[in-house]
Amino acid sequence: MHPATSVQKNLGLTGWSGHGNINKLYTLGANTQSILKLRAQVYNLAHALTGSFPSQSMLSRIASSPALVVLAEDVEPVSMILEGAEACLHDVATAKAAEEDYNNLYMASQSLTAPLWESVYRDPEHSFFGDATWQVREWYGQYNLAFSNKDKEPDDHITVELEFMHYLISASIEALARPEKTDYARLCADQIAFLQEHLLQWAPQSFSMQLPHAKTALYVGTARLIVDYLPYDLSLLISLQNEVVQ
Amino acid sequence: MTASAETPLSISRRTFLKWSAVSAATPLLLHGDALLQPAFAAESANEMIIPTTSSLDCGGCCLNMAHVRDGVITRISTRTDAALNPAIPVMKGCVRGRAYRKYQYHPDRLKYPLKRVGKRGEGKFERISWDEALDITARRIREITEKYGPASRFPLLGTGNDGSSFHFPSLARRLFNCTGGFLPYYHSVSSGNTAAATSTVYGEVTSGSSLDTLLHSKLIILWGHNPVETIFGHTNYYLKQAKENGCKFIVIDPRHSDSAITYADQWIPILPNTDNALMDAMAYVIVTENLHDTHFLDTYCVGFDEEHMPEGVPDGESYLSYLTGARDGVKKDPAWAEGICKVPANTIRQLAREYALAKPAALLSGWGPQRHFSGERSARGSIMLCCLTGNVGKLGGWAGGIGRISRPTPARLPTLKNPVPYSINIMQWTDAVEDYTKVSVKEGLKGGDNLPAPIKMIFSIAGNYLMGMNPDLNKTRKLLEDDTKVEFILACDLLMTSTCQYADIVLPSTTFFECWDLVRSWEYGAYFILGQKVVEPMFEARHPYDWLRDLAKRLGVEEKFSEGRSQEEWARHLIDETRKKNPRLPDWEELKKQGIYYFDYPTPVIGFKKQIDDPANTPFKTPSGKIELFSKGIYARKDPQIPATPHYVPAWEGPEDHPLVEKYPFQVIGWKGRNGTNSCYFTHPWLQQVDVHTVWINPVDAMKKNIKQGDTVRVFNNRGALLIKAEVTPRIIPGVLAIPTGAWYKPGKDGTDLNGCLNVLTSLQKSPLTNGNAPHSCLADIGKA
Ligand code: SF4
Repeated sequence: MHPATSVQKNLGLTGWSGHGNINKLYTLGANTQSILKLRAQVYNLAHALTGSFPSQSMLSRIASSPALVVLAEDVEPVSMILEGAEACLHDVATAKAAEEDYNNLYMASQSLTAPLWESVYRDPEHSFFGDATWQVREWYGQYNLAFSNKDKEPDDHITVELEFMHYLISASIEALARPEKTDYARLCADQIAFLQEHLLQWAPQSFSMQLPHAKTALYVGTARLIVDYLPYDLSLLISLQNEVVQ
Repeated sequence: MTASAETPLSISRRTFLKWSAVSAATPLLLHGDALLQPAFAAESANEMIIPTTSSLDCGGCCLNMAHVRDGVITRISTRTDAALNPAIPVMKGCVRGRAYRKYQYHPDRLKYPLKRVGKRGEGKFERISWDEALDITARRIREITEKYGPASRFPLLGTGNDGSSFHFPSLARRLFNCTGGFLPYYHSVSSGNTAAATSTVYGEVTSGSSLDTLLHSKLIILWGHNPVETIFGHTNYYLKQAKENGCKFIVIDPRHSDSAITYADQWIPILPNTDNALMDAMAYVIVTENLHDTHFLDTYCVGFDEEHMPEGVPDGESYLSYLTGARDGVKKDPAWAEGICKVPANTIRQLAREYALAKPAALLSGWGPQRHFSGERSARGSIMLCCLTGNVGKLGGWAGGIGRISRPTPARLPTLKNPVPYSINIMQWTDAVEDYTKVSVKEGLKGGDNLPAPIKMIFSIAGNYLMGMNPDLNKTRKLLEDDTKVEFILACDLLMTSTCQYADIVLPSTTFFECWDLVRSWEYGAYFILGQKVVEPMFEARHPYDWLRDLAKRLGVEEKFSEGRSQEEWARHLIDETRKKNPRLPDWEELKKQGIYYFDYPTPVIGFKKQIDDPANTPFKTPSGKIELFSKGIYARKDPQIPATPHYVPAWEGPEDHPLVEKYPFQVIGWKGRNGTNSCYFTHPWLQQVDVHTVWINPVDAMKKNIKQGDTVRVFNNRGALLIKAEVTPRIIPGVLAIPTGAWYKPGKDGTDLNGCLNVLTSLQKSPLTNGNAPHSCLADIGKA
């Protein structure tokens, strides 16, 4: 069974999906799209910081994102990241320190204090390519996606999982714009399922372990974003889904 | 948005209202690189089971099956007992082999090329691209070669996942040979001392027989030989059968090893470095009780008694004169030996009689004792006993010494000719760094009287010798930390070993699952297995052949280095080359299916059978044409540490090395456990559970030192100190501490090694005959930490 199907069942969504005009059931608020885009930006930010070297160009893209500036007012880790990014852009020593942080926390020149792959935590063998890796590969496959480097790296790296969430959110924004809402409902359910079955199973734990080793605002903020935002995102998604059902 | 009161949004409504204005214009494009790409839903791939093997520096060449699904190894299996074909017995994987998948997919695998950014040895690195890594390396090669010449370039030995027909360190040698050569070393740290010693007696190193001959033995003595833990080629396969046949086994070892547990009818603990005292006393009993094979001695040997001595040697120099005390007034009887080696006199008598009377009997001397300062003497002594009892050249006997046999092997990627005429003993490399003018012919330099340059560049590919297995690591560390001495160190490996920590450039290597190889079984097996590339290299790992080829391109010798072949094309070519001598060998496609090729091997090989059967026409390859129990060459050296006949001499840092032994009263020895292949698996969590890294101490000693089981203890001498947990066990003889080899060097702030790495205690002392390694002659003390 597709993991999403089981979650849909748990949430009682499948019962009514066969009942003719499902769209009647949706009473979506005007700002739903904004919430989705906001969420996409958070995943985008976490994706960038966990997966890419803190280059000047990436940091200035982040620092100049109006959406993030607004979000920073209410989400503390985002404001910390923006401050960190600004500091790197203006101060060479801070930029150097951030690069060092990135090397230590993400690049694994040594053994990582907090490995960045799901199966290292969840598989009984604590190694790459455990069951979790196969499961996320299957998830991506359901959306006709594949990790571009899957023959050489496990598919359950934090950045790939975050990108998949970003993909689902982007797809749900498109789906929301269509009159037919089945896809949108499914995408919401899948996001919930993927968070529950995968990201939340390990990422907050991993980044709590990483947190004490991060030395710069940019990466303290990143770790806190993962630790704090992901559980919050789940509750946000559940509200969105309730909205669909109402 | 109609968020209800219970909506758990802690982000304020204000934000969303503001944000809705921004959001419409916000692109969803990722700031970072996209990692997911469109793909057609893949058919769920079937699992393939691919026969392959490992190419670790291990005695096994075991059939390991990689179960592969969708580019991923899902499990490893090996041949079952039921699948055994006794005519062609291929090894099955050991406990390390069962842990290969965990090794392959270890989260700490080196993933990218790294460049040192801190001080050397400080452990600070940053990721760089392959291009940058190879550009730096090419530039350093050019600069250093221009300034110091090719003899300043030193590729070190492989001790890990170092390949077989594609021997990783030799690939670097090939590249160096394309660009002027390099400084080679000789002498195997595993067997060099016994090899040299064996040659002095037999004139060659092939003193072994095929292991199937052991099925005819009535008694097998494993003397410092521990094949159950080390997996010594095919040894266990045959020893198990011998045991089942009712052959008696005696194990002589300071440690009650797993081989003792598995095979021994009797374990005889002995103090390290005193083997020759036991051998002498055994000989004394055998001779005085007239159990020796006088015909054999008279026909084939020189040096046993005064009647069979080479020309020009004064009276009293024969082995018998030594034994009886005719030379020095001391009878080398069991009571004399007991005081030295701690084997009770009665046990010695019983052992001597049993060995002399069981015909045929095989005395297999392992390669552990030869890592002692006394190792050359004990290797020669083992041969003396084999001759005394006439077991040489006989089915079921054994000739002692190193025990090599010559077997067919598959073709290897050639190293090409080295234009540098010099070579050094492996034990001289630190001297060649520190002060190359002191590297002397006397201590092993060959090819000239002086080295033309110091070692300025080290390539350590697939090895943790440099800062893990080299003796006296604290001294070595000081040498390497000064980067004006060795100006460039490159390491290539799978994990961040202690050697990689001291490198300037670290490159991620491939496992045996990620490349092609023709892996030969160590000499006792008569087959090779096609090592298959079953998965892609992880992350940015590359096979050394591939990156050396790119490096060759930068140095302008790509064509010469590669001859236009990829790694796989070379593997195919080497199969073709091997087929020239072995027409039965199937082609590439067929070999991929069957995996294994057995060389033709119709009858057992018995070491020196020809010489024994037909002495008139088949002399030994010694100067005298006989087995030289007395070596004139050694006699001429007049070095009391290496007497012309193989008798006991108190060893440097042995139990009689006064007054040092008063200060450091314990002998420290190392052993290679089931949990490691050299130092490959030190961070492998499963294998660390197989054997916990502890120091073994006898309860008698532990009581004196107030040490309890599990205590953290400090073992120390004037070269260094280490911390380790204590295993209080009667499985080690009193007076000896045993620490497994293989730990990665990890000095703490005060220099005490935190990983329990034995080589902070061991020394660079050279052995007397061949200037070889003698790390396990090592005195130390122990106390609670
Ligand atoms: S470690 Fe050696 S003995 Fe064990 S499975 Fe591998 S090759 Fe065989």
